[in-house]
Amino acid sequence: MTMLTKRSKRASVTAFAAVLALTLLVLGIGFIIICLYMGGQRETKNATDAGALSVGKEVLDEPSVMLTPAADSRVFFDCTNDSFDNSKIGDGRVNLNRINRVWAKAMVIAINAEDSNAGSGKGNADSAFQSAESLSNSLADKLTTPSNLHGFFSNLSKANSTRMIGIGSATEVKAGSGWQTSLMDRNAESNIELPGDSSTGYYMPPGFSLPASCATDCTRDPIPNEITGTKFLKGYAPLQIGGHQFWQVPFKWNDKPHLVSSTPFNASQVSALPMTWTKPVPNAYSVEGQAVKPGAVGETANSWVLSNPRHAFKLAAPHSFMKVHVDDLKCKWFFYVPLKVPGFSTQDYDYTPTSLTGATSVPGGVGSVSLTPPAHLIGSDVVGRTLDEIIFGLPKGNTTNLEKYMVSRANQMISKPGVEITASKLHSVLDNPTTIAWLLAGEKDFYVFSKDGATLECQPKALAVGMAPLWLPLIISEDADGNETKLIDDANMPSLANIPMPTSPVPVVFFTPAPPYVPNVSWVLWDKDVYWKNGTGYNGNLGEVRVKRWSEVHSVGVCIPII
Amino acid sequence: MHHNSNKSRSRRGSGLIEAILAATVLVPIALFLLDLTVMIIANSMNDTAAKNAARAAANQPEGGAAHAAAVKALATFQASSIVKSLTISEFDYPAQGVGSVSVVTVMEVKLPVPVPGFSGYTFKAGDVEPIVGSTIAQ
Amino acid sequence: MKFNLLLPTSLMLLLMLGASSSKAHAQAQNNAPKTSAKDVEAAKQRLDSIMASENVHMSTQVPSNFPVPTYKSNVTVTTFMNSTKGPPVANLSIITKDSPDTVFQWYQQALKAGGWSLRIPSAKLMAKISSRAQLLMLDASKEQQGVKLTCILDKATNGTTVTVGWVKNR
Repeated sequence: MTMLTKRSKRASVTAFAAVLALTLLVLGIGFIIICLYMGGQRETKNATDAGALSVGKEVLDEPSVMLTPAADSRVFFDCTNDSFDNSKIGDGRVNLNRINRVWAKAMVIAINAEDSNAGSGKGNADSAFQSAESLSNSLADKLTTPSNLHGFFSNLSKANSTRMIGIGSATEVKAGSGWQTSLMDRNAESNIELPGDSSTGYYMPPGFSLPASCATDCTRDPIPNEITGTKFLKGYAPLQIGGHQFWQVPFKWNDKPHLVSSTPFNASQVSALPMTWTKPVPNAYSVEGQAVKPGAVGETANSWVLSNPRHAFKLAAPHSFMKVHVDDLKCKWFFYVPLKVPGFSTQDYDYTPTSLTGATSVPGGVGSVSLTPPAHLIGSDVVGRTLDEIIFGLPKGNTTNLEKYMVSRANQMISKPGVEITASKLHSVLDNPTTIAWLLAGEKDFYVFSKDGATLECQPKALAVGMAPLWLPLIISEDADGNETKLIDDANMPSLANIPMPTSPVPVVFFTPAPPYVPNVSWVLWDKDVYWKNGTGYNGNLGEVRVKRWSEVHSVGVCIPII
Repeated sequence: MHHNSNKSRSRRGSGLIEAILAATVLVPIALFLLDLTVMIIANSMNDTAAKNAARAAANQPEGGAAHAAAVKALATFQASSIVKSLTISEFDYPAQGVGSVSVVTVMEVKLPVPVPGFSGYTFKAGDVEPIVGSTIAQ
Repeated sequence: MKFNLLLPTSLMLLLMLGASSSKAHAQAQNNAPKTSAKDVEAAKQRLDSIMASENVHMSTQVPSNFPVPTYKSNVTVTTFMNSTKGPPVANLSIITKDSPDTVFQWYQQALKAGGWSLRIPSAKLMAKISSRAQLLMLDASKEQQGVKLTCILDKATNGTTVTVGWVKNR
């Protein structure tokens, strides 16, 4: 019995050791399997994250919508490139990177069409809006179709190892409900900067105020120094201009595409937080990946990414121009017989002073048979003057609205962020001394445009088309689509460069001319009308300034009775 | 009585031998598992390091800054008796920041329980991330 | 007898005609038919009314507060015209026997001394501008004021017609 006990005791210890060893092995193997599983989960998540970031980055470029040759689609051709440089020509594609530019240009056209003299510009603004909305809707459809994004995901997810899942495994797309879109950062800034600020009224045309609800500061905290005071169009907020709601996709200034967590993503989806934009263009995307090895599928993972192109533009119609036309210069003659009457002839003059004599007036004045006005040197109102002085110079008139129109349009040509065209800058462009020579040479038409999206030019047609050869020749012959209105009505003043001349009326019988100078004198007045023809920019023409200058020679011839 | 003490000595001796035999099996298993655990943890650390380095590089606009960021991402690593070193062995940042950045990190690990002819192990991990730090040229 | 009567009558007529033509000649010599001061005043008021309707005022005196120096050498005619509505604008016109170069130099110095900044067109531009009438011109500015000076050669007398155009709140 004792031998049996001994043997059984030895056997139990051995068995115990064996069981313990087995347990250790099992636990160890189990631990390894768990580690491999968790490691595989981590690798799948990493690969999915990389795929998500790839989606967030690539989605800015593709999918895209191609412009059609129709006019209302072609109007946005200048928005189909990624540069603010106007010399770069677009490729006709509208993508997430560029959709805000398209909406912004449609907004510019609509703002310009709010003018009381918009004329056919109103219809053009409606066309532009509808076209922008159509392009936006098409883009939204493509962006919300997950299969369009799968390739971007796979390119990066497969490049990341998931060896803990198995040899030959890779993270691939798991199609399904894991691929969704969201509209994050609502009411944050878009990447479209406004020119100026509220104190300058954002350089809007006269009579128009941009609703305060359209603009916002940068919503990053703290606001980067470079853009302190800069205002942007608001994203995912209705921008009401006229009868239409315009839209922007928010892209926080200089923010990189980055991963976000599911909570804010889900909270910003249309299903959770509806908005009035019928087909909003999303800026956030969710992805789902699955580790796959030959013959089996492994763990899945989800990621969420917020996209951002990281560059800004201005509220602009990039390829556009403003035309300045200077009418022929006229010299008109007036007499007082005794009422003021015009002379029989009107003469042309130019930018070189010339002595002109008017036709004799019959009768010449009170008590006079006739009066031949003395010769005057005409042309001093324009001689040696730049285009700026021709438009805004003496006689000045009320140039406030004219200046506002021109400054507003000048800012609409600028696409480079941070560049603002003040009134002073506009005047310095128009004040280019070369315009004196052009006017002397007989040039009557000048074009204001931006060849690079950052600076302004004012040139005659021949030079202008050479400076922007890829786009300006195509539109330079377009007329402004609005109506013309007179902004400055007969601003006049005594000539600064003509000496009053004595007149010699021929008296009737028993009359003799009154003393020279007082009252028999002839003097010159400078006169000016300035017209503005509104342009929305739909066809590239943002508006036309027409300047009409003339000189008036007034001659008084009075004869008094001889006693 | 003499017979009884002989018996007890014989019982204690056999127990010790059994314990030694058991330990001969159990201890190596345990030590092996310890080494395996260290290797698994080290591999995981290396994977994370490669990912962090690649993510940091992907946030930079150009190659020089990207490499510096990747190196900085590994700066928190402190060598120990087990994990000897962690370095970047391959770094590929494409020209003009278009595409993706690839980083391979190498970690030298000294096993806590040396195995004859196998004192250490080198782990290699790679990560590819899309470059988000560059901007489209304007 | 008849002949004798005709001759003295004719002579008398001739004398009368001669006397009256002398008288006309004397009057022509004086160059000032007699007119009523009242008519002259009425004509002057007429001019004032016309000028007021055109928002201008003219006189032959330069106001003492005219901020631009006035050329005074060999001046034969002075007129001063100013606006009565809108931005302040005035034109001082002088005819002098001095040459355009003399007057132009004088004004350049006087304006500089008065703190005005001058802008004179280049010789090339002046050559183009002066193709039909020999003239010299400059622009001057000081604070919110601007001046446009023109000196034009009077070919008949070799003198100068000077116009000094002044504006405020340019």
